[in-house]
Amino acid sequence: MAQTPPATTELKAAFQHALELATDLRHEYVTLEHLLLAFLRDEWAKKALRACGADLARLDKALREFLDDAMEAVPEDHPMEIQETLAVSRVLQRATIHAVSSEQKRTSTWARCSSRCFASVRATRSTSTAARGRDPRHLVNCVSHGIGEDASDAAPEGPRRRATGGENEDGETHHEPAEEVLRRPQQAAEGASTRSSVRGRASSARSACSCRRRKNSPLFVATPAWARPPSPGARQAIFERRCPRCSPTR
Amino acid sequence: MARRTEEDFDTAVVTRTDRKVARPKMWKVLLHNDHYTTREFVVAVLMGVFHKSETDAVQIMLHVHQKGLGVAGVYTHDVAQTKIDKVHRLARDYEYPLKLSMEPEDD
Repeated sequence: MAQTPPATTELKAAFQHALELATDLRHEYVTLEHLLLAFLRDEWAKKALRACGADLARLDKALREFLDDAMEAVPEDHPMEIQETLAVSRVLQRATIHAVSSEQKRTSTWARCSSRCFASVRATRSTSTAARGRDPRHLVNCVSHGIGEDASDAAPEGPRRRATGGENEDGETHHEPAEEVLRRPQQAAEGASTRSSVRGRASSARSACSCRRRKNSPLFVATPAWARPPSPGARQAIFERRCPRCSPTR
Repeated sequence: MARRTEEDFDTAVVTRTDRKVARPKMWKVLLHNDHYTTREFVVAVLMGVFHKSETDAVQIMLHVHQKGLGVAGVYTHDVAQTKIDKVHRLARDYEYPLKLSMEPEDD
């Protein structure tokens, strides 16, 4: 059974900040709005949100206004024990499940949580002012393909380590930074063996294998990896008739 | 007279969609009357979970007792849901069938 991965430093810091916010405002519960406001202090979160077109100042102001107006402060004479709301529990639980399912050794950097936050906020309509029309998919896309979310030990403005698909000391998979991804087509045009070109060769090999496959044929059903449906690249190759000719089977 | 369409003038209409974000609704937490939950428990819940003064708590409890339904408080969706869950768990622990529900507040 998979163990629950521990939270990353950023997530712990964000949650701590959310708790401090709730304490300062004498709020009984840590809500998604507190958590989102705490994420706005994270450098990488800010960078990703800006890349998605978010107006951070407006978002910050809207969240603070919402917390001041809509949340009830606990009276001074009542003892206060801060708890997380059900929505926050769900977000953290989903982030943990995501970390387990993607075989990460550390749970949920801010990106998974904040994207889940945005998703939950939109779903429950609890703070549509906070969401400001941002689609959680934009954030996830930006983090997955533009900016790596493992920003624990890298300066936001500095050059990031070259990602090779390995794992850092936190056990999280590296993602290539945006500049690297943008340089790839140029590198491919220059004839350099980039990951894209390797992927291209792999997909043509895969399409060749897919072409040869016959149902229940012990000869042509290769390893389980090849038994999967063709990748999107291979499908595109088949559609554009760039796939190799089928091998004679009889 | 023949009707002229957009194609006759070589024009097109450009539509622009503006997204307006509505202020989130507040939700009323409703207390339901039953014949098993004691008055003391309801008052304790109203004071402990909903932070009502003793006078207000007794007043709400009596309203629920007489009318069958009463408003315990108005909160955001997330907080209302959490408070209802907390009270349901408390009631279950003390073996009371106290029921709470929530509905959006009218504008």
